[in-house]
Amino acid sequence: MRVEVENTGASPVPCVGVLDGSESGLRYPRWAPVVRRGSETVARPGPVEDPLVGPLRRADVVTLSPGGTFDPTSAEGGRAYLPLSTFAAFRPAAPGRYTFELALDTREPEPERWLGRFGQGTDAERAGLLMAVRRIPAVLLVATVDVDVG
Amino acid sequence: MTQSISDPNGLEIVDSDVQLEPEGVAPAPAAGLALADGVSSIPMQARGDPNGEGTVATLSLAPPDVAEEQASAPPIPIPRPIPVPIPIRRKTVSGRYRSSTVGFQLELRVDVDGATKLNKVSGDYYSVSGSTTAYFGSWRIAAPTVSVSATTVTVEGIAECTWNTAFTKARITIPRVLILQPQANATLTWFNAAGAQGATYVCAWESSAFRTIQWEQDSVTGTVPFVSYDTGSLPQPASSPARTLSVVTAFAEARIQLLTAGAPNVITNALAGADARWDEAELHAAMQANFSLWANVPQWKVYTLVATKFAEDGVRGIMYDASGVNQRQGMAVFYDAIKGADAATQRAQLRTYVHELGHCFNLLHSWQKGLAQPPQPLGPNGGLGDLSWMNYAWKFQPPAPAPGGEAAYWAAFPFQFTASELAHLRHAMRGHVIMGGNAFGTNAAEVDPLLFADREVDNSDLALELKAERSYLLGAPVVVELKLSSTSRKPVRTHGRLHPRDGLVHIAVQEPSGRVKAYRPLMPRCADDAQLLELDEQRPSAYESAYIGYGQDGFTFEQIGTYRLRAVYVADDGSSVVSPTLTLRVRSPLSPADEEVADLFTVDGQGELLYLLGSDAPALAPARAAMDEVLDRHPDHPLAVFARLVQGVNDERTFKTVTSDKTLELRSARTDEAVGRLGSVIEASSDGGGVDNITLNLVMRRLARAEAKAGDVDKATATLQAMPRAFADKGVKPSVVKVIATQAKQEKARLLHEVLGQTGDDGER
Repeated sequence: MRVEVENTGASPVPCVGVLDGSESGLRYPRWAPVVRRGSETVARPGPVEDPLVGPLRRADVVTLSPGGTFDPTSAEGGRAYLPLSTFAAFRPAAPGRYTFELALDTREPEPERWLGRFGQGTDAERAGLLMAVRRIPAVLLVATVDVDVG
Repeated sequence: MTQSISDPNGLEIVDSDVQLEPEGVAPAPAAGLALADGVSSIPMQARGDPNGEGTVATLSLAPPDVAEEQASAPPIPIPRPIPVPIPIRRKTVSGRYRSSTVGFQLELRVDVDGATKLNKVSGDYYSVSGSTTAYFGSWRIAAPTVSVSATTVTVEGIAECTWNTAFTKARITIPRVLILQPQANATLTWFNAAGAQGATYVCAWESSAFRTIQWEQDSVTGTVPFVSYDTGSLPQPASSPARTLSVVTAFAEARIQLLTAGAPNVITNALAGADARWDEAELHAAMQANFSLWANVPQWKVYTLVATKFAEDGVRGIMYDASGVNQRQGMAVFYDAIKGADAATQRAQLRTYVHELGHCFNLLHSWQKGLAQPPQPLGPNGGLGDLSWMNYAWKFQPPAPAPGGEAAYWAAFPFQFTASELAHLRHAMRGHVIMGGNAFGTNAAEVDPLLFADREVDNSDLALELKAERSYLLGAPVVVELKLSSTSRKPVRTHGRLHPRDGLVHIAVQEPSGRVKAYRPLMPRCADDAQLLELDEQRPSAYESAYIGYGQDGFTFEQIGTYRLRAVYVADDGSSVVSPTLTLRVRSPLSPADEEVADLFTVDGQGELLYLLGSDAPALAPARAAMDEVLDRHPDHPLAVFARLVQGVNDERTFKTVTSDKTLELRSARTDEAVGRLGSVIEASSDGGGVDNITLNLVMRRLARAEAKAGDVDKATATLQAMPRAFADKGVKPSVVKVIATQAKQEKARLLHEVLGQTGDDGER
């Protein structure tokens, strides 16, 4: 499952991909994947193990110019982005139509909830990151795609 | 014998308490057994019990030749016995050794044979002085050369050390002993690059475990601590034998010994607060209250609390001690999320306990190792393919096309750490692994030197400058002035949070010793609003002053010598604007009066009193008494102005105190005292001495408030109106004087409103 985020607006937009804890909903940005077959949910993120999620770093904040795209699961460029384990590990058990849904939620008013729990770097780095997070627009974006399994 | 306490590797001879067997002399064989020739040709066998089973040698047991004795007897055909080689076992040499306590004590970890060998050796030095022992440093050899003879195991290699030494080449010899014999001593000798011999340590066998940790576990009412899981209960990989694993035995397989310690207390869930959920602060408080071995120091002691549920839903466990100075001392599991008696649940419980304890050893999640400082290599598929206690079952994702997910994890997981994790647990430098040592996920220095390095590109249009006196008498409060200026012809909008307590300006201090530390304000605060300002031709700069003589780490300038300071301002866009280096000197007291005043300014609590500009807090009574003594005994000393400043500002405020019986007491402003003391500060500062201009600005406004509170509004107004002229006379720039005039006007309006309840357009009466 390939994921791509595109800036369809006229201004540059800062954005952050799938970080440690994003998929479990432990930190922002939240990237919530789910796979459904009809009304049944057949795959979703596993249990929250512990909240020790890694840091947000400057390299993790990308600025998309108008029309620009990025893969939020690609660690290229030194970003700490992770694959979406829910999609990566999913194997259809039976033929049928499966709906893959991915929601990006950045609507967190407290920028500290983006920073993670350890490896926070210096106070100056942390302050700089909080500034950067404040510039990320608060959105809820949902994408779906249907896959027919024969 | 010569000794150098700065380099334990360079000592000539260290230990004479333990008898060393000469190299090449075989240990005494066990009774009735003799070692056959050719043993050394038998290769090392990695098999069996990591706690002792090892190489195999052969022994020929030949019965006496009876043929000649029976020569006269009728020849009876007797079948001649065929010598049967009986294998005997030799002990492995891997494990932990310790030298005796003369000068330096060495803990030596040899990891070169046995089923889980990593082919590494490492050690920690402890400096022993009298009845005290202090950690000195660590070393390790990542890839030593190991040679095995019939009688000896020899390990050689170049060590990485945590201190500077020329003696980095190590040779360790350990006699091989038979299975029934006691373990032999290990002898370590250091050499320098030229081959000159350094120190020799003879270390006695201590344990087959590479580390020993005391583990204390408490539980909350209604929870049941995990006991054990039979790995044969559910399908598992063929390479993983069925066995019963507890938390202790799971770590024992890694050759880490957990010794249960302390009485297992049952704690009331009331400590979790009204919501009955545990957050990190509550867990930390519970640890401090109930971990009988707890201390805020690095120590091989760890605490587990079996709690009910975490503040956030679904969390199974947490290593909650991930901030502050001495981290990783405690972890918790959350029973409501992990409970259950079926095999799969018990298996998952075991994993959660071992996983969280792994964090206490400074192990990161499998996919996080690249985020460590410094980054560590990741396992397969970005670490997600690790078959480790530290991976998540549902996140397990080996390289394609192998299936991932929880079922795939459990089908392949052999209940163990990865080799790199084992290397960390067994051989990491002590501070990187010991509980209370390096911060979680890092072994970095206190201050990132790059943070305060000059920026190669700076397009921020801003400049930051630090100013202070050139020298300070020891004990004098060090106040720095921070100046933020625009370097652009166009107006620059930015935030005006220049005080370090707001967290957007950071100051690094290089001490006379060369050590660099970050100044950490005593009471950092959250700057909720940006305090936006526009720097332009009318107002090209913004100023702030900050007392940095005392912070969370105590006094900043308590040594005599030269200090170098740099500050970094974090702008709205994330730019880091670094100041040039400011140099200041702290000088020795010149007279007995200087010395006495210096002592009085450094008594306990004095730093807090200066930082807070006075306080009625009972705990600071000794510091207030010291201030009184400065004024009583040395009223004309140059530093007496700071005592008057602290007392005058505190006199002017109404002070609230919560008494021991939880009642609130209000102390009214002491206006007469405030007027007298603050007036003296202004007078002392009028001719170049006294306090800095920004503090003087504050003092004049506080004086006006005291005068207004005393009912003399005219005098208060006059004090404020005199401010611009006073600073102009001191040579302050007109643009700054203009800002001061505005501040005085605003202060006047505020005073009239607060003291007299009046309002007006601009505060004019």
